Amino acid sequence: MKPLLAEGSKSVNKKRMSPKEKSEERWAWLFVAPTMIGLIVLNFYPIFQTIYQSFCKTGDFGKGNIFIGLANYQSVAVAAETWQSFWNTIKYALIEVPFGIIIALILAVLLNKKCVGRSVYRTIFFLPMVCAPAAVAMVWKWMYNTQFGLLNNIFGSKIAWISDPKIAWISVGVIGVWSIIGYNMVLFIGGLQDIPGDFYEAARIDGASEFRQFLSITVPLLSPTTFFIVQTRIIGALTVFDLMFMVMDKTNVALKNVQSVVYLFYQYAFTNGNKGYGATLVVFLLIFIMILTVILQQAEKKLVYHN
Amino acid sequence: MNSGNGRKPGKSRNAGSSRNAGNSRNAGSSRNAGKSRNAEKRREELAKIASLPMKQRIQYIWDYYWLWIIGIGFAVIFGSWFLWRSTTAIRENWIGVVFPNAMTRVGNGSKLWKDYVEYTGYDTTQKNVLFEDQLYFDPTTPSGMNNPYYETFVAMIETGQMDAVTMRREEMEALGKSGRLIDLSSEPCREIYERYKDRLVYSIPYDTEYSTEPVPIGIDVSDSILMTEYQIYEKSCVYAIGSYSRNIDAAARFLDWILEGRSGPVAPEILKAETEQKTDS
Amino acid sequence: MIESAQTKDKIRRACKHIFLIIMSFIMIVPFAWMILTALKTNQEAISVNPFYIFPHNGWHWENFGTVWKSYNFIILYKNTLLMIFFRVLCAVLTATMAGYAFGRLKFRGKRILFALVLVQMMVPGQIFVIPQFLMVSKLGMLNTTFGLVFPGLVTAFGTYLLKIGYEGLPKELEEAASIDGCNVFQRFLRILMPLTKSSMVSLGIFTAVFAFKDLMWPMIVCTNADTTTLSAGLAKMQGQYGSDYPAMMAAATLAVLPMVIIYVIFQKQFVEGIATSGGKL
Repeated sequence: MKPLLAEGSKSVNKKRMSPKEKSEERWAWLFVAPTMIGLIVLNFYPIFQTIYQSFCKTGDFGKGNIFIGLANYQSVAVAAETWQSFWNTIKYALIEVPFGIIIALILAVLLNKKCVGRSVYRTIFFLPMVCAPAAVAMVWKWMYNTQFGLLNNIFGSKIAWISDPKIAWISVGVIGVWSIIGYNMVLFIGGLQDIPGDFYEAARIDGASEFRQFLSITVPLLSPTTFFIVQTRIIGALTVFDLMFMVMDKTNVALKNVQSVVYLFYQYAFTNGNKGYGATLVVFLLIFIMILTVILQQAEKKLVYHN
Repeated sequence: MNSGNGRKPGKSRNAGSSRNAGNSRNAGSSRNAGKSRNAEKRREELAKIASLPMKQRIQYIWDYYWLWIIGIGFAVIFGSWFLWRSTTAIRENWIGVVFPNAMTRVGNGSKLWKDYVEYTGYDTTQKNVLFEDQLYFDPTTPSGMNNPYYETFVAMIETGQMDAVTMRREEMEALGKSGRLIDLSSEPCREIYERYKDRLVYSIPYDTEYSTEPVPIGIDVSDSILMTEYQIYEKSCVYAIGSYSRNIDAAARFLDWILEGRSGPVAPEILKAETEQKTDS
Repeated sequence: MIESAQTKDKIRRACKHIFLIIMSFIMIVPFAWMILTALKTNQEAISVNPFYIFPHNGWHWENFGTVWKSYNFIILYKNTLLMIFFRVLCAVLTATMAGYAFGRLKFRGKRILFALVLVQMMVPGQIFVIPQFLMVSKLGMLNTTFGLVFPGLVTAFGTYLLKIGYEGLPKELEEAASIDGCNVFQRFLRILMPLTKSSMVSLGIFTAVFAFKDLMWPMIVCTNADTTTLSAGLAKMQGQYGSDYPAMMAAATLAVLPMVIIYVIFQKQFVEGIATSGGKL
């Protein structure tokens, strides 16, 4: 009898599950139920609506959705501005994600140690998150203004920071980095808190230098948090919307070179009332991010340390 | 651990074998064991609570079950509020009008609002009369529409929450291109179209498949009480109805009122049309 | 030897503080700008000279008083704090449960369900607004706190964050508890959940900040001035005052104050997280 049962427990993952696993599964379903039901009602219903809309022509004086098959996909795919906006978004992400994460990590590590004025620093780095968007926009305009701006005044230069198509994307990326540091830092501090202090204690007894401790303890143990931030920030940067236009005027010639995919979507769906076309852009973006995510999730298994 | 399992022999056997079941993973017996153990625990717990004096009993229950008590209490309060609110809430509107970029206050509760409710005799305890005057955007430029105000406006029009909108002439012409304003030459607006033929405002839609010719989307009301009495804009004022409006008749009535009605008595032909509609439906 | 090590340590500490001070300066500029603008006259506020940072015609503290009187701050604070409280509560509650299941439990369909959670983050938020508004409107929950909380009932971001938090906990914890006869729920509530406190605090801060900054949703759902939130209420009135920057900034400063206080309280929780059991780096 015994060997038979032992075999049964081995083949659990194939067909039959032990009662323990059954009860675990029941609990798991119960636990994810509120979130999944909420997501389906609040988010997936609209997402499916959007996907359906991408096959439709809309916006003609309240006539509703008229099915037109793949025509939207065709016109989105051949439009040069689509690919330009994708390229703009990627360029933005290439600035925001790495710099935003590295600076935030340095700050978080420095502020995780006991030091003078730690709470004050943490509060200061939090302030940009709640600062009035109008004030943020005003300050950046003040910095970047070609004639009266602070940057040009300091360097004695005449650079058109936000209207030169070659520089504008960098200037916008800098604002992106600036505004995301606080968020990333909060997440990093949270992750650092979860690293048990005795690891460092042991390392110190072994005489490891601080830098060495950082490399051999902080980096691997923080890697799940880091991966989480990389993943969510890539998604966040690729769906960036309003940031680009905080400092840009309507007459800005560089507009074409910085507008993101979501902004283009907004232009079509909200401004022009062409919801079908806008929805198609969203589907393109969704597919693009999904592919990236699958690649990242594969990489996760190799890069992230699991205990 | 299981001190009182001698009561029911059948179950106690299962309970006794539960330790083995844990190792052997025998499906049936272990599940029964789990159940009986839970029942056992519950019985023990009840006996324990019953044995305590009143004051300690309450203390004990609170100490161990405070999370449940608060959770259930909150759920009950929320549930009953939710039911009450969803049954008593006013869901429908008599009419909703947006006045973007208004320079004077004409929102809910303002003089305009009161005047109109008084004039029409709408019962605001049954349906709402919504006037929204605090949205600011400029449809003549793309960047002027890149703000939450405009998004709010779109949501209100597309959901049919708002039926009509007023704006300056050039703004309305720009807004009409998106197809969110009803084509006044279409069937449901025939009557308005005929009556205000000389006041129409046109715009060419973005959607060239719909029409490459200018489409009538608004009615110039620069001489209406909105301008003379309430001064909501400086130079011109155009009135338009949303494409998704469900109360086109109410929107038409508001239009008639701002142009002719003033604060005077109800215009007889409008009243007649109104009663006819009621009997129709 | 020891002395040189000490001086080295001192230099290192000084470098660290210089770096932190420079970064603080960069981060605090807009906030300081906001407060300084609030103290200027309008003429100074719109002056183009980049070095007119401080008010030079006297510090107009009375701007705050005027603004305080012209808005109904008490009601706006109340609405905002209620919304933030319930959003944080819902987000932490649902995300911590789902995060536990995704991070620790085995069940069929886990991968596909988690993929759905990720997909939610990949689409622009604008597409949710109109359908969600229709739902709230059908439920009759316009102009209520529930309406404000509605889109934040669940959170994909939080679920992911908490999943990471639970995955990071050592396996032995659960095994030990499992031998003690704890079921899944007890393990979750008594042992694992308290250990993810710092993740929950992070999520709380994020939820609170996003709820506070959310402008469009309150503007659409709460059209009554006495049910709306700070950000939406101020935004609506700002349009009215046009370019009175000092008043705008004074209002924004007053609006931010409770958020800063909440953060200062919250971030203390970070310091007292589990890691304090051992020494820190």
